[in-house]
Amino acid sequence: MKKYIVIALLIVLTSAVKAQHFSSFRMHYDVAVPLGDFSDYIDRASWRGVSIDSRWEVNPKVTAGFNLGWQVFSQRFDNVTEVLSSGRTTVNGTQFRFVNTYPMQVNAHYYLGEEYSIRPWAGLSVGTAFTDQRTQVGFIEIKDTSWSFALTPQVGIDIPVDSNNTCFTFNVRYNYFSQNTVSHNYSFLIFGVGFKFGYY
Amino acid sequence: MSNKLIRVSPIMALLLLIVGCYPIGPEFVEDYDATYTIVNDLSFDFADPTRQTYHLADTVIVLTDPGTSPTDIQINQSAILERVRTNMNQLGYTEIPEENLANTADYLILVSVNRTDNYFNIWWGGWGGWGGWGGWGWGGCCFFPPMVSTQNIRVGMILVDIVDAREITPGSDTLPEVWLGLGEGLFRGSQQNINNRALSAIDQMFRQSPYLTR
Repeated sequence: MKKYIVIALLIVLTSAVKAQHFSSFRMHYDVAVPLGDFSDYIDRASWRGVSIDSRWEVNPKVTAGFNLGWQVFSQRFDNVTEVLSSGRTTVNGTQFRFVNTYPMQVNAHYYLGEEYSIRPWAGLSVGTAFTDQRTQVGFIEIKDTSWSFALTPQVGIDIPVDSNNTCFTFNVRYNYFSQNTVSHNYSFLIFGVGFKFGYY
Repeated sequence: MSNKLIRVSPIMALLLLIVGCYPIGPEFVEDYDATYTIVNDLSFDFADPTRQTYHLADTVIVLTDPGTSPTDIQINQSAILERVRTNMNQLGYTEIPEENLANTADYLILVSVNRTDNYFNIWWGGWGGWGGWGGWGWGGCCFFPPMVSTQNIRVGMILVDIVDAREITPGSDTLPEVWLGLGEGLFRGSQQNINNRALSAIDQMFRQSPYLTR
């Protein structure tokens, strides 16, 4: 099912590019809040995130595109005792936990309102995400890296700031990265602010 | 996909701090302290009620290679042995202190320490200076040679081995170790600070091994 969604979005994206309709490029600064099982590993909000998003108009209400992102989560935990997966080794010390996520997705969005006006929108991104998780204790590091299926429903609003359809944009994105190398999936809510630059 | 347990060098641990992907890290010497306990054989029955006694070797073995680091490890060895003894007694074991009766004990306990010096060079400068009207380059009026400074990250370690004394084979080069406690950290700070951290590591080894309790 996931494969068909990706293929369908790629087809839409390709046709949109050929049509040479209105396009936009977006850059966001992202703040993320861990959710679900992921928050058992790190529960502190991440203030280090960026993303870019390119969209091509399929019709005046619909765009297709792709997005890339990078979000860094980190947190210190004092005096943690943890039994490693082998069951033979127990480690105690100050833990420094890090998760770097890199989603790479195609997306589709639906818009309300008209161009050159305030436009709320909703959309969905699907694709993959590379995740690098590290736990440092003393001089050892427990490292997990994985590629996972990445699903991101999202809503946002574009507010024009000039006559060229440059917009201030605010969005909320729920990220869900499923994977099986650690005990949790990665789910987190992103609050993104940035700018949209329109072009033909 | 991978799932790896990696031992990073102290040098690498410091370098990771300056990379944006890893924005936090140890701030104090104690932040590098870690205590590990390893059970060699998960099927070993620590709860066996017939195992009640131990013999603690009266010497702390210094494992440091004299070719790489000074072997004068400035920690209070008698205090370390006493702390191991206290923990074992609190767990409910009875010490057999006489060396000639050591072979009658259920466990033999060996304590050792180590110190490792990790030297590395930091290079900086060496960009060449002003090379005349042609711009920056080597030569010209001012040549700045690269500067090198040598740094040392010194790591200390304390190891407590519990050996199954019933399974010791006389004349054998190997010992049937059933449990290993290891405390590791930066070998920095005053002698008092290093001693206190070593003793805390011993306490932590036993605290995180409740299955040793009689």
